[in-house]
Amino acid sequence: MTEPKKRNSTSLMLLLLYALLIASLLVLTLAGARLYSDTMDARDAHAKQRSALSYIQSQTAACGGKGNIRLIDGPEGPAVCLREPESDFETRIYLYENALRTEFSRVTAEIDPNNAEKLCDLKTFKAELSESGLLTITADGMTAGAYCDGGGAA
Amino acid sequence: MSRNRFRIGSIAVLFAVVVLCVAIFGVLTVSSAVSDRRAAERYGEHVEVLYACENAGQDWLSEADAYLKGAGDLPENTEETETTLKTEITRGNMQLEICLNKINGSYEIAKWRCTARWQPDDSLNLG
Amino acid sequence: MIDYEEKRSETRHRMGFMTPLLVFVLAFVACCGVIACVFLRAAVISDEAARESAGIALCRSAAEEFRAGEIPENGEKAYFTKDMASCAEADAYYYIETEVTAAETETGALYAGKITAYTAGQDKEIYALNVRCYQPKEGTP
Repeated sequence: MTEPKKRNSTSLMLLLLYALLIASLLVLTLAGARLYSDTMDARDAHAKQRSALSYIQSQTAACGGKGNIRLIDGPEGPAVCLREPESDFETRIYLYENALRTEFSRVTAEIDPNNAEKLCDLKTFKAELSESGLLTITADGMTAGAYCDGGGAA
Repeated sequence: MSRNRFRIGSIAVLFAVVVLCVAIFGVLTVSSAVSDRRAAERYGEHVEVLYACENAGQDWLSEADAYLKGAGDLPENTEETETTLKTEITRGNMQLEICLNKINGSYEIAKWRCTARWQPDDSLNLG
Repeated sequence: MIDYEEKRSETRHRMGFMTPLLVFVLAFVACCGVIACVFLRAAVISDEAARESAGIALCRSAAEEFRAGEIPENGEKAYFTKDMASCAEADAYYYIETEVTAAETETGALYAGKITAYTAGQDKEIYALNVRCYQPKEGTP
């Protein structure tokens, strides 16, 4: 009588151990996937920050003068326009359909988001141009300043 | 003996597969984090070079202003015409072009443009 | 004697299946430990990258404001949250400190600034940037 009982308890113990090991493996897999996903999200956030803010800062530095910077109304908020030096073309940066987009077109042309290239995903975008020529950009809560010394055709 | 044998064959296979997958996740995670950090470091180096260029431009501007007001010599590496003063400052791979218009012994900044220098790659004979 | 034989074989049977089980569990624990170390290392590197990115962005913005003529007082600090939004000192995750020196000339003043970004908790330097701004004397453009 005792032998069948021993066999049953041993089998039960083995089954429990088996289940515990399977559960541990599942938890390990889920944890690994979650950590990888978090690292990728962090990397995307940094890339977005570099794309959205530093791109505008670099373009501002390359535009040739604060006279080449202006703000106009974009499809979903302000559009930053950076005119090419000694040219009738400008780079326009604005928010459209949850993405920051850049469009290169003539100064006199209307904004056309269909011609724009997507820079990065973004929910909010604001820009202000002060009297001193300091351009303040706010993208998804992150704020950055961009300044170009005087000059450039108005 | 055969009644109490612990069969670990199936779970060992599962264990091996899962550990392999999680190890691959781990390697990918480390690789992504390292590339993110490297990108941040390279951006930091680029910003340092950019500001080295801009700072040299400000130094030149103060010397040019002193020259125009008769309080100093013509700065180095400066092109002077009747109406303008121009210079090109290079630091690393960044280039700053400055053009000043002379106005009554003072200046107006006509151009201040900081761009990356582009080196054409002639190694391939595409002619 | 038969009982002794049976007991010995029983013991051998128990030890027979326990050993590979123990080895398996130990191998599992060792693998989990190694994998956990790898993920921890990745998390540390990712944090460093986040701090460096934030430090560079904050320093660059402050430098642009400096160049625009908005020159802060020497030693002035500005505080920011983890999302790089401006905040009070108590809520700060990062802060930047600006050291300003001015070299007066006959025709104007050349301001030199060193902008340094720190993590608020440990006061650890993340990034530093030098910036200059020339301001001619009043009455000139």
